[in-house]
Amino acid sequence: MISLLPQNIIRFLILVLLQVLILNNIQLSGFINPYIYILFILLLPFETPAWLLLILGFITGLTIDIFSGTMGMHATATTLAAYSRPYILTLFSPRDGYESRTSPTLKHYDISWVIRYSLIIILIHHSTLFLVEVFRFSGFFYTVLRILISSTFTFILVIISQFLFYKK
Amino acid sequence: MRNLFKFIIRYHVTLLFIVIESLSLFLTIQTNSFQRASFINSSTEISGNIYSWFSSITEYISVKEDNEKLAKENLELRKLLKSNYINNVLTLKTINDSIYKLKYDYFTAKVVNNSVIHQNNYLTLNKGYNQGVRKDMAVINPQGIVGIIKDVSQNFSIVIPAININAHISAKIKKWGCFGTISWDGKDYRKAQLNEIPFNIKLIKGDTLVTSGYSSMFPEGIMVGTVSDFDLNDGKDFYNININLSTDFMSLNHVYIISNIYKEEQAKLENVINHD
Repeated sequence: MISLLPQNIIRFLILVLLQVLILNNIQLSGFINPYIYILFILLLPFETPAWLLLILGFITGLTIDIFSGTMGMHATATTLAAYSRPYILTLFSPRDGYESRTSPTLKHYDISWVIRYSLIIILIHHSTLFLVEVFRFSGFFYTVLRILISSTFTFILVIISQFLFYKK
Repeated sequence: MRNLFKFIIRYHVTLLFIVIESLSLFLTIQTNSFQRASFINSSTEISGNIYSWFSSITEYISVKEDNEKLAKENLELRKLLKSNYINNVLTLKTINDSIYKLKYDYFTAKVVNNSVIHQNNYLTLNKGYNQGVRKDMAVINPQGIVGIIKDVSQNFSIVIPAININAHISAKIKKWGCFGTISWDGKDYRKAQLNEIPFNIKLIKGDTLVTSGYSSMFPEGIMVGTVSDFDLNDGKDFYNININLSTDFMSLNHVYIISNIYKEEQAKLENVINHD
């Protein structure tokens, strides 16, 4: 088993490059842009302390920001997603808590748990991102539509990647 | 004092969150305004290099389309060659031409990064200060206008395209010569809006829009787009006009940067008036 630190660093690099080089250029009909890099925050081990989560979230967001030329937008959204993660985990925790040395993946938990957990964090992240981007409430329903469509696509990608890499 | 420490230790995660989140929001607001921090300039240099490496691979995908575009433009230029015209003036004499002076200079550049889905879209070009690019130069491609240079680093520059909600480009209706401002509502990258056209102008669908030449950035008569639909608000003096942009922002690759040699002179004179 690869130890946790290099595993996460490699995952970070792959997700960031995937995001900025490929997914940022998809731009279907001006609507759909999946933000798969949030998967990095989703897959961090359970034992990650909350303060480290925040810092990692900020760094991830800032990296994407530098590449998209949108200073601060992704950082804001990812930090909020990282902050909410421990609360979401408590909310959905199994009856006897999370076992040590497991990760929030399909390998250790069932599909309905993974769906609930990913969907909520993706929605938090995308809502913040798109609302910060427009920075006003005119055209609110248009923004909501963008949030829903992009979240759906990110969610589909996240679930596909779970099936590809973590299926039992 | 002890209670303060207790409080900090107890809520350290929330406090850290508030600090980081304020920092991010501060960055967002700071850089969404038109003056970007110089920090961005240096980070553009790094990300620009990675993008140009990647686009040197992916540009082969659209090479066929680009060749067609360039060939078409070559054809247009070839038609303008002097050798294509017959001289029907019988008496010839050479005159020293002091009437025509070069006003606009052109550079070519390649788009290394592009977005069409955000509200604030930006393009990155592979030419910068070292190659003579300066702020506020105009950018076009063979199809029409692209945008205006917003920021320049040593070897890269950032363009605000016409499809940025902060972009405002002066344009006129070719047939009538009346001018207005092009803006973008942040929805469809193929459409934009033309404002300030008074209601006494007779519009029809398909009317051609070109740059007005008043802004001192774009030369006059560069293609902007065509009128797709319009309506007149009751009680208002101006049309709401939707236009189809002639430039396909999704497939930008090679662009031209235009520098107006007399821009500074014009700006200086106009500033004097504005300050009075």
